[in-house]
Amino acid sequence: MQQAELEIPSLDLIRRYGVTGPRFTSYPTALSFDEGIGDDAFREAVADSNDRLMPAPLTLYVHLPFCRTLCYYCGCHKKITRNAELVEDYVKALIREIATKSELVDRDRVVRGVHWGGGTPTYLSRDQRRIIMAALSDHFPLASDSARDFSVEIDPRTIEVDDLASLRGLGFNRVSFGVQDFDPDVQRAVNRVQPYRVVAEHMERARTLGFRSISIDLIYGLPLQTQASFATTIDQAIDLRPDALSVFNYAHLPARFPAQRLIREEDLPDAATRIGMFRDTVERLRDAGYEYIGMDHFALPMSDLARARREGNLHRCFQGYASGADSETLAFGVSGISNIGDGYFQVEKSLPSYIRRVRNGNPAIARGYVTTPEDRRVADVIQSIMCYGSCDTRAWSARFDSEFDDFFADDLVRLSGLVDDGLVVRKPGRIDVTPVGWVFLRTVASCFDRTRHGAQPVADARAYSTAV
Amino acid sequence: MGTEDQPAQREAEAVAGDAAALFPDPSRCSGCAVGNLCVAAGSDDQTLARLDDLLRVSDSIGAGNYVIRRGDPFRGLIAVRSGCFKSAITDREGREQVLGFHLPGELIGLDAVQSKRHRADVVALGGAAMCMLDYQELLNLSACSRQLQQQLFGLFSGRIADTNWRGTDLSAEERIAGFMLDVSKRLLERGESGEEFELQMSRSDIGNYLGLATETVSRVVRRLHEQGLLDVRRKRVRLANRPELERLAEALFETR
Repeated sequence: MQQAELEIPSLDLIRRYGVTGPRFTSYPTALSFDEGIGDDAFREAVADSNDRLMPAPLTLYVHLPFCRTLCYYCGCHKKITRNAELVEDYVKALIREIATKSELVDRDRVVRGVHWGGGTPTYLSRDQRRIIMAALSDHFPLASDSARDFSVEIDPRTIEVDDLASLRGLGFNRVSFGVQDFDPDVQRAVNRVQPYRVVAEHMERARTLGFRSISIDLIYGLPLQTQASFATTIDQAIDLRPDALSVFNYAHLPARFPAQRLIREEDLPDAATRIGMFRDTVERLRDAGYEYIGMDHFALPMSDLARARREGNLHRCFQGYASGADSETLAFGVSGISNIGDGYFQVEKSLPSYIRRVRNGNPAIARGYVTTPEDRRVADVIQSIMCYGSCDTRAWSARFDSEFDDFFADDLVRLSGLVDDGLVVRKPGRIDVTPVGWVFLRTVASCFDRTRHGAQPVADARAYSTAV
Repeated sequence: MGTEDQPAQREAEAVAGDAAALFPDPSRCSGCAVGNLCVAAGSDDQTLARLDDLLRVSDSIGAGNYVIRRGDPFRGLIAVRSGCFKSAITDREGREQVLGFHLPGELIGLDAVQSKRHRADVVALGGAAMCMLDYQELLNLSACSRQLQQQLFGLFSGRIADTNWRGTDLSAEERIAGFMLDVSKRLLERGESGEEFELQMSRSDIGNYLGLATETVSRVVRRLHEQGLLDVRRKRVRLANRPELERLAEALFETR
């Protein structure tokens, strides 16, 4: 697979195509989840995935929702608390949930990936972290260090000098640091103050400890950011030479995320500034040798993500992009989404009901979606577009024993407008996204999204974030 | 019967015949998808009509439902209309041993003809449909139809050549290749695609049947998939390189 190329689009194209749309971390997206899907459907899906001739390797996602302070931009599922008792109850519930769900999974299914996200995983004490990892390794066969991708999200403000060593000792070999912006004024405006020096020291330490992949998350579009200040943040990040960078576009949706009401709207950069920041990001990272992976992700050519992309082993998932196209995810903790068998299954979001249900030995699934054969045909195309910006329509026809152009007749009509505007090129047997089209990747993918265009619209535009 | 009536009657029959061809009734042998491989194959209309009278159709048997329990008195045979059934016995320790799988057009229960009691449990895998055929009535009917007699004889003897996988010293690769080829052959005999098929059975059932650990089934299937001999997606299997599979299973066919 060729490296993706980005070209900065004209203002006219941005106005027309930089519209709202889902990010397609799954298809159908979480907005289609239905409360009628619960524990029984989950058990059935796990049994079905066990029964397959070549069961997929597993990734275990653990959601750790606690934070000490509130970052105003955050749209994650989190709980700001200092209540040690609640956290202790949560850890106990997690242990129970891991045991309950592991009972459903065949013992010979190897775990290649572990991902701890939040909230703030490093909010937990070392003891609590050790207990959770021990529960995972007691109940699942974990792959050896060289064959595993075990990652943890780190808030640099929450870790002590030897915390990274302790995480490495638990078996993690990838870390991602939540930085967002290095400018002190911007950091204050979003209530997340962390000096550059602290991040730099942690990264240095992580490298010495042998973490295989170190990545940094940044956000553009935050209050008080200017084009110049964000360019400095990008340059500072490049100086630290992370293996991968995620540069997200801040989605200001105060109606949906109450914390964002603490951000003063007049402090937000305007559209022209955001486009400028996006252009600077793309150009500076390219000049520094980073490859564009897709959506918000950039990585060094030797990184796992860039390699997975070249080898056709890239996967779009709830964590963004990951290597290992064939794996299935089992999720633990509030709001975690499992993707196993033919479905998506989300755990209870409310802490009290989660803890109560898990204590009763219940998988605590609150909503989900069981895919139809039609969904899987669409999902195949959307995966291919989101990962590679292309679709081999002949291979699709052979794979599903169905004529691509017939099956997607209506969708291709929608796509033709994008072809006319130079976002997409259609050749016999192929659909390819152009360098300009990569900026509107989810607009391209959404041409095939039947939950949005079909008979049952699932949500209004306010539920989504914008493309640029 | 007056000769004058004949043309009209023939026309009525012709109309009925057309309607049957246009709207086959799947609850009757004449309209059954596997009618040309099952007991009714080659039978004349009169025998077909009598077969239709004696069979009892069960059209939607849910996954995991037992249609025969070990020790049940033998009353009749089961013909598989669609889906797949598994025969298995469970020992005192609760360990299951899978004896075989039954595909559309095949008969279940032949092992009980002599003993008058079923020796194994039979359970539907995935959704399935079947016909119950009363054995005594079937025998009575076959006394009047040479074609039916011959068809039954063929069906009875066919399964005696069943492979005893557990009793052999074949390698895991040989067993898996042999199993895929066996399923393919049985489907081909029934006029279905033997090149690509959906396996209703779980990998643990397949492992149990072949005398292999469950994880060995997956490991070997993955290897054959990576070597391009099989193309596997979910439960769907395509024989991507039949000559190579046959070469692999050579030892198996020699022992037969």
